[in-house]
Amino acid sequence: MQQLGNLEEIVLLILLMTEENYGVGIVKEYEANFNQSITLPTIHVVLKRLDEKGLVKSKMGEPTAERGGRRKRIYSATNNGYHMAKELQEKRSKIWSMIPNIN
Amino acid sequence: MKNRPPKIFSWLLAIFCPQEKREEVEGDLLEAFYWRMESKSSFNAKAFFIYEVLRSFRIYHFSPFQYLNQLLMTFNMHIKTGWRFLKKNMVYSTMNIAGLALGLSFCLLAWLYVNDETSYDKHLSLHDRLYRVVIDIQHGDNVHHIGGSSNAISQTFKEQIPEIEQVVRLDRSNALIKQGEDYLEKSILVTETQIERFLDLQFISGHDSFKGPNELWVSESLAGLLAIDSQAADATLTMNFGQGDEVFIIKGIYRDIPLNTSVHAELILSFDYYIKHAKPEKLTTWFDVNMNTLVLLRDYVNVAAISTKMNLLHLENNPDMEAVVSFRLQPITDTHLDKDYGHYNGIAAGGNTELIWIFSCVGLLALIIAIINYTNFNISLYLNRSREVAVRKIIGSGRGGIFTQLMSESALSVVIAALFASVILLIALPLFGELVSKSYSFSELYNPVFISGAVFILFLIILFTGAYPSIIFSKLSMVHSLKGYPRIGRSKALTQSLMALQFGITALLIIGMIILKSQLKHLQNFDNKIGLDGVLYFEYIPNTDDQTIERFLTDLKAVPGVISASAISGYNGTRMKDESNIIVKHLRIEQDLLTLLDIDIIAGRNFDSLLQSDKTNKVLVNEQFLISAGIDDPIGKTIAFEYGDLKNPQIIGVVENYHFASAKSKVDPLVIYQSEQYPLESAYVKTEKLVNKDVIEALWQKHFSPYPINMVYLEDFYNSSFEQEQRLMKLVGFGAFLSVVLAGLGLLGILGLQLNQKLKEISIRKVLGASFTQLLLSTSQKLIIFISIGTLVGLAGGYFLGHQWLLQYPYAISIHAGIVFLATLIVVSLAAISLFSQVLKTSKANPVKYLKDE
Repeated sequence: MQQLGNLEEIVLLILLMTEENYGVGIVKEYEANFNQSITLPTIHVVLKRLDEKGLVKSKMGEPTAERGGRRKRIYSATNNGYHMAKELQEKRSKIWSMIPNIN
Repeated sequence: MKNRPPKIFSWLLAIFCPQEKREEVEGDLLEAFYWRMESKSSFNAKAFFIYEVLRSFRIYHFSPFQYLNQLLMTFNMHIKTGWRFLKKNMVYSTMNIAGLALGLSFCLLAWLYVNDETSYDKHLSLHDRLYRVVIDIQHGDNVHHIGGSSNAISQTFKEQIPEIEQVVRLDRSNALIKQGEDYLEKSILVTETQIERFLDLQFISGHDSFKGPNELWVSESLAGLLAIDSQAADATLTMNFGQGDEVFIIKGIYRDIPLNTSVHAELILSFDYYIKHAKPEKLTTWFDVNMNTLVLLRDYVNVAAISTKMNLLHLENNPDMEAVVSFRLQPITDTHLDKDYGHYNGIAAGGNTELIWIFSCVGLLALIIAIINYTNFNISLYLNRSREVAVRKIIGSGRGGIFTQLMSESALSVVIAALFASVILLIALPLFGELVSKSYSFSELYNPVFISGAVFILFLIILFTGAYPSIIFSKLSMVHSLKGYPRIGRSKALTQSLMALQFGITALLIIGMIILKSQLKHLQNFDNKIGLDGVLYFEYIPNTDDQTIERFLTDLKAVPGVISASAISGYNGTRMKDESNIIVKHLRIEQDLLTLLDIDIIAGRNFDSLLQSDKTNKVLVNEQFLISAGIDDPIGKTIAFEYGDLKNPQIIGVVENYHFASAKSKVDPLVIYQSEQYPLESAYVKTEKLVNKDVIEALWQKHFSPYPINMVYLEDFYNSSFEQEQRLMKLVGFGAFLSVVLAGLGLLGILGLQLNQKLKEISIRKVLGASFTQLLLSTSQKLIIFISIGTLVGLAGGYFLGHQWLLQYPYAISIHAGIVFLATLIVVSLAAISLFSQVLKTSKANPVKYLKDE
């Protein structure tokens, strides 16, 4: 069973949510959802690890004007990634449902 | 605050990010930067950007090596194309590089000389606090500069001026060092123990201060030469100061003092020796100037204030002095290049500022000519490459690319030239040392200042030789170049004006050399009014009494082949004791001197050996004396001349103005007497051609052993006073030769290249019936005009400089038309040979060959 770090999981979820995304896009999503800033290299490292685990795949996009004609590397989750995330969520909700209600 | 990512970091990102990752990473980082800039603050964006770039280094394995590799590959390729290009144009490149190497090596030699001359004493750790005491004495309008002081002066200053931390007295003496049975003559420094601190002396063995008169320190190299065992404590050395052998104890052996030190010595003798042997009044007389005083000032003191104190002390001690005397402190670093105060009594022979200037100028001119040559060659050669440049541009090379390519090619040539130049330098160094009478060792070349200067010169050359062609070609229009008609009109005008400058410099150096040579010849052939033929001269006879010299002269006269022999004291100077107050030279002679030297008496009579009064108060004077003193009818008059016991003598005759010094100076007023006011010092011997010099040497041995003989022909002695002129001539002559070679080569090469591009035009002209002259004019008219202007300016400049230089000689040549004509002739024939040979070669070619090829 592969281990998935916390941040790795969040990035994977963002990718699943937005279907396709790239470095800066992920940073923006992260900051929008968590109200916390994060640096690009951190995201790049996470994406690289996810790629090595076979949970995401990437391709080069088309050059765009706002990036001065540079292309971006676009990531999307693989099937494996989807199942992995799903499994994790199910396990968590299962555990959550067993937590006694405090109020 | 500008809203752009910090430059350094975007640059870091651009060069260190691996190529395959660069696009996405750079894109992401920049996009994030602009996004943060908008949504947050500019500061936030920048801080994040910097942090992210730095973080990326680890994540993406940014590698400086990869970047360097890339750079090296490009450079490698530039070098390869450059090398192929050089090989392809073998003849021209060799000419080009050889010219550059010659100019460069000359420039480096000049730099070596200048650097060495200006580095004197700066290596001493106390140099900014070390001063020499000097005196200015004013008599009427004349100021005499005296670089020296006396024992009384130095001791008074030492005791009464608190700002002076230490005082060292210096004197120099000649001694004969006994080595087995032989004697070795050495100049030695007589001084005090504290000199050790002044000169940073380092001892390799023994290290004792001087306690008695017969103690000394020896330098490492002299100790080696004399085979002194460095371990033996208190080894002894036998020396002879003219009063028999004396034994000295060696108290220490020190590392050799660097040559660029004003106080330089192989042997240092205790000052107590000087004190022991000096007459008591010599030590106490305030103005018995016979030594140098070096003072070490305390930190942060006012030098001017000390001078004032020194002058007050002088007034206290010499209240009755008529002349105005002022004492000054001269920084030790100024002594070497000083002109006024002289270099003696322990201060090593000085440098020559004039020579430094001329050296720097000729070195710089040589370099400029070489650079011009190189640039001209390059522009013309590169014209053939305009197609290549255009193709490079089409493939995608930017201006920067072309620029770096041409720059690295020029760097390649310069480096090759530098290698040749260092070979030339190594070969020329000993010869050069001889020329400037210095002993340069190769270790001089490792001097960090010299090396950094040399590297700086190299960079300068690369910049100058590479920049212009690189700029032109990076701007070149592609279409025209591909068609084969590169449009760089401006470069042609530049080439021509550079050529003109080159010929100007050549003309300047040539006319300078001719002026120098004529003046030197003029001085050497100057009529000194002395018969020099067959006269042998003993410049200095060691301190012996007159009787020994008389006996020596008597023995000499008995030698077959010797016509006569006579002796004189040195030429001394004193003031007349009347209102004229002029300085006159005076001289004691032996009976036969005037006849021996063939000096004419123009009025009155010579000394008569039968008249006893001629030996006491009768004098001869020279014509100049009559003019200076304003005497009309001299014979029988008494003059207000006083020296020692000789007072108010009577004139019995007038001699013509013979030159006792070289013709570089005017003849001074002179009084000649026989009275014994001075010991005899020099001797003259007139000989026939076939005289056995061995006999004369044997006589010298008999009377003056162990002193080595110092006999020269008087003619050689006179000529040796022109050493500096000769040196200067060699220098300028070499510069002129160099510039002639380079200018000739340059013109040859450039014209050849230009004509090669015009082959078709020339062929058409020929077919239409142009003559050789017409061809010459049509192809090189402009060049000829430019060169003529350059030559004219150079001649005018040379004329002006030569005129200035000649002003220092009282007997100077005038720069007549012949000199200018000769210089012009040389330059014109140089230009004509180069021009004709190239144009002739082209015009001889068969026009069909060039017209056919399309």
